[in-house]
Amino acid sequence: MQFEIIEKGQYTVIQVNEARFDAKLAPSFREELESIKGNIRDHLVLDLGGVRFMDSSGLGAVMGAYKMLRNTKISIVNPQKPIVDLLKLTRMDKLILSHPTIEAAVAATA
Amino acid sequence: MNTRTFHKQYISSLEASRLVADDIVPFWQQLNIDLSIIGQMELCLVEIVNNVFEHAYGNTEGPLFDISSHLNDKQQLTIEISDYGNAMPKHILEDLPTADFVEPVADDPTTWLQSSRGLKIVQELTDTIEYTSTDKRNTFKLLKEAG
Repeated sequence: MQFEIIEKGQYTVIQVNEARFDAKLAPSFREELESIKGNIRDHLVLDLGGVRFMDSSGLGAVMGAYKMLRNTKISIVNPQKPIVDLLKLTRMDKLILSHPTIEAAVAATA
Repeated sequence: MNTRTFHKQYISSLEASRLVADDIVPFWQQLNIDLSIIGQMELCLVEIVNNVFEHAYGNTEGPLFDISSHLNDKQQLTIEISDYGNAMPKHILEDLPTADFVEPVADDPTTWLQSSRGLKIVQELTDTIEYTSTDKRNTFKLLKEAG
């Protein structure tokens, strides 16, 4: 499965089980998000631990989630260095915070 | 065989960038280029290959494009991506150096947008980016100090 959805308490986790979050994967991510958006809880956690490569299309898909879910907090967890570097380069790290673990992301909200 | 030069032709598609990366990353690794530079150049190459598919070929699968890369004795890495489709308007590249990434603000959706984000990434990560266009061939040439 490309994406695994985990619902726990006040947060929903989308675990991206692909090495490349790129132009090929971005449309599937948008479809997945569209199909579950009615059930997403207060906090959407994107677990990108398995993603070793992200391009501007992947970044655009994450921004798409941010736009779609205006009243939902969105966090990235467990990002690999290339993803951290990309978020920093494009300054998206100012809008969507990254955390080492799901627990840290949830604790930051509490 | 000159192992310092790579050249291959590909069929443009949404996933072409994956095929290119699968081929060229091992080539760069064989040249002992620093892994962080390989990661940056992989990203730049993917952005340009996607740009070719979306803009030069209007999201049409099938047309061909060429990739070449070489490392010279001064440890300068060159990457060229050539397509045979629609040329990019000249002002897009000219405007890039003055178009900084906008710092997004949660309450202001206009700051979430970034025009030409992919090309801006390429401009930030390479030392030089050039674009030439003749009647039938458009070429991005990227240069990066790899030493």
